[in-house]
Amino acid sequence: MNTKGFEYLDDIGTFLFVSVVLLGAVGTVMWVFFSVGGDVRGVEAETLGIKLIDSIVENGNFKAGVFEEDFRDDELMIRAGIDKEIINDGSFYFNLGIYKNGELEKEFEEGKGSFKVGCNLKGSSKNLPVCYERELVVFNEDEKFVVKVLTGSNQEGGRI
Amino acid sequence: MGWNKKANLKEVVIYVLLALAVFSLGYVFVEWKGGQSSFYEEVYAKKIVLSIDKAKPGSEIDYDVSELYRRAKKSGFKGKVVVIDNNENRVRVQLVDGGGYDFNYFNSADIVWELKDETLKMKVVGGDLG
Repeated sequence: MNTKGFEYLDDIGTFLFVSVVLLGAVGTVMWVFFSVGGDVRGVEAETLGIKLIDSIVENGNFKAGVFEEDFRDDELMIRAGIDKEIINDGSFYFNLGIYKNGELEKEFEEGKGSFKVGCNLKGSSKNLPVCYERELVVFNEDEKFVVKVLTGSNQEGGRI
Repeated sequence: MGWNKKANLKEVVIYVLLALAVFSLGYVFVEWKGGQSSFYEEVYAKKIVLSIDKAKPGSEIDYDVSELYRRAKKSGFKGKVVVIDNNENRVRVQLVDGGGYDFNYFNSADIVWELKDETLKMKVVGGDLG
């Protein structure tokens, strides 16, 4: 019985096998590091969501004009400083709903609609968007509302 | 167990050489992957886009891109390492001829930018200040 490790040339096969396994493990870790490290979709979705909220909410209250009839998707994006063309290029999505007593009072929605479903699917496929979801209580004078935000990004970027 | 000094030395030398060869391969892989221009193009393009997306109108951002210049010099690339296109809302980072990586930002503000002293200087202008 060999209790001294790789003592004889007969063990070269074992040595090579162990080395290949080790290199495979190192290679896998490196691959995961370099691929996951460059995935910023979650940060994009979060930034988008926070921008939308900040554009209509201040200190727990709605900013002026949010409930006006002509305050719609376009006005929301202008206020939030979000480019409509980019949001609608197929890589982004947002849905912002304002609820009162569980009833939807007002809704804003732009981008790739299928993300609404994609955001609920489990998995880490590159084809699925990475999403950000937030719910907060906001007051308008003394009335209590709930704002629900869902944003998603699946921007892949492009090599020239 | 018998002891054969000559045979043992030979085996040790072979194992050491094999170990060096195998782990050199691993080192070369790590160096190759980490040193690829394409990797830096993608990482910097995304970092710059995220900083633009988070910025509010009036913000000024200075971004150290000396690493990009170092790598562009190494590859002989003489063009602009970073280009921000306000019409397309796009950041392009390029370190080699025929290469480069594009990434879009959704911030609707215009970005006034320049590359100076290996620093990307950006100023976010326009948009709703309220």
